[in-house]
Amino acid sequence: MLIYAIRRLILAVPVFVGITLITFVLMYLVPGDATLIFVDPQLATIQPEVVKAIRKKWGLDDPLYVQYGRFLWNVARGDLGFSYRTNQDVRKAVLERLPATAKLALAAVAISTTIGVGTGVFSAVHRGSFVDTAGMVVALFGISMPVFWLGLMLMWFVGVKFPVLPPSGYGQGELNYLVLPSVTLGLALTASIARMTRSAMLDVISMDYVRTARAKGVNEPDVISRHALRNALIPVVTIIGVQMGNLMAGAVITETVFSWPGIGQLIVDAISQRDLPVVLGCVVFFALIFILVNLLVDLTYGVLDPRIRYG
Amino acid sequence: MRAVEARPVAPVQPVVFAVPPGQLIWRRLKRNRSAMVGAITVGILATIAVFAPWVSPYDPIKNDLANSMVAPGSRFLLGTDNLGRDILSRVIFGSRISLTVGLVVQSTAVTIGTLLGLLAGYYRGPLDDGVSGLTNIMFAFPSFLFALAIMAVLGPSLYNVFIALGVVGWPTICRLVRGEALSLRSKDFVEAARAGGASDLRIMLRHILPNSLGPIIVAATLGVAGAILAEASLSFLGLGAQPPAPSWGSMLSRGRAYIWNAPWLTFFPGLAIFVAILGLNLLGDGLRDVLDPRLRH
Repeated sequence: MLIYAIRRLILAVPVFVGITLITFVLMYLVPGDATLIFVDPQLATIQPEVVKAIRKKWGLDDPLYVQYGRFLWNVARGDLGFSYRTNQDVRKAVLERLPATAKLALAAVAISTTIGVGTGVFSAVHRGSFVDTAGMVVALFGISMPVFWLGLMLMWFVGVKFPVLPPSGYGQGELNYLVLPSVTLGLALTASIARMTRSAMLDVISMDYVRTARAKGVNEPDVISRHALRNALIPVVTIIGVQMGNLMAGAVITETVFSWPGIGQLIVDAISQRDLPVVLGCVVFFALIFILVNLLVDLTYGVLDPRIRYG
Repeated sequence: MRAVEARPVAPVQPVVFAVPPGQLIWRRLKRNRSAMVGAITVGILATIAVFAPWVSPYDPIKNDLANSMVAPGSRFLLGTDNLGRDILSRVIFGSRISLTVGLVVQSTAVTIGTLLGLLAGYYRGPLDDGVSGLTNIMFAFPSFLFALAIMAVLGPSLYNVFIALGVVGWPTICRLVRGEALSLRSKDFVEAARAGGASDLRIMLRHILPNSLGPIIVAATLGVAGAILAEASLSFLGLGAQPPAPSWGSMLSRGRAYIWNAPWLTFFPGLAIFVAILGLNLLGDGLRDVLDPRLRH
């Protein structure tokens, strides 16, 4: 398994290089002179030598492949460049915001796996019942609900109309500030997990080994939890990996809605100020996390199903 | 030595369907309740979008400051916004933006994805390596964030939304079509067509493509929902349609500031997005049940 993990990591390298290449090309495509973003255009016409000095300092006159090589080398060392606006180290800015985003994302994943798997199993076991139908209708609503709308409505209802929870902000990191954002972010994932769990459970429940387990007198809760659910979990873990991208997108929006001081807000602020190194740095960072999470998902398969060997 | 007898060759029987496949699918679709609810919802939305100037009671863009922030009531069914514009009219016109984005983006994605997927899956070899490598890289980007990065570079506008979402949308279709082409290319009927002298182009377009249409239609339907949601999200972040254009996402974004005392500014545009996406998801799920018999529950 360790060898498999290492091999997967090595295989991820070309993909990661591809990501940096695309990101770099994007940077390069910016219309106009990049220096004019942080030099007053008027100053630039009066004193062209200032622009020249800046171009020299950042190596903007070097050939494209030299610039890309430098960019790649920097990214490999974990150097994501500096913000055009604040001159802050992008890596530092990202790492400073990471705890808030991680807290939000982990809370959302925890909520959605618990409620999603629970609802899915219950729906499958009581297939066709009222609770099953209601649960699946709610799940369908959940995957169709735009994150920002859900967030704003929760904010209005629970934060303003019936003020039981703080409508937005981070506070001093208290848990009650976390409730609305994590529920908002988690709903779509909860719904996907519930739908997937239900469908996987229905596949498994009609298997022979489940019938065998029942026939030999295993009690029903054990049949469901140990024989059925365990085997139904693989597609569920898969869907968590697949939904990771949506979760990240949702985090960006949720953070904007609730003024949550995470990486998502960093990106949105950077975009409105056209602070490209920060935007692209964040995207590269998210892509890296995304690759690692999917690797983790692959490794989980082996834990859930010992028959899967990584050769 | 045995005489080789010429055995009579059984004439090739044309496959006769009791019901033409198109009609069969339509019949099954009609019986699928969620698909029908979805289709009707989408149909109503499309009708509203087409006839927007005739069904909307007011001008969606003209300011009317004397009537700003009027709560929903008999004169303005869904209320007015901070500039006195009728929310209902704006929601109605917003359907045009959303559906256009959904259709244009998905047509682009389906065209590029189908083309590359067909070529990669049919010819394999270095072409496939290249295309698959590129899709793998694209899949390693969380797609919405990639679209955000493209928007940051190109600058906010509705046209750039088309570009950004088109660029991130095609790999899904491409991977799907490639897989279908890969499995279909060695099937007997393709072999037969090749033996009959059909050109590669003809095999791809007449034999492989029609047989992979089912999954493409399902993915495209769900993709339209995804594109509408993505446009609304980008507009919500201020990157999509620019004011005064009545995009649902930007209406929500503008209405946010007034959520304390005028929640209808955000409620109704969001409801519209929700209904549109719900309709498309229902339709997509229903189509999957009908077109992809492997998945059933």
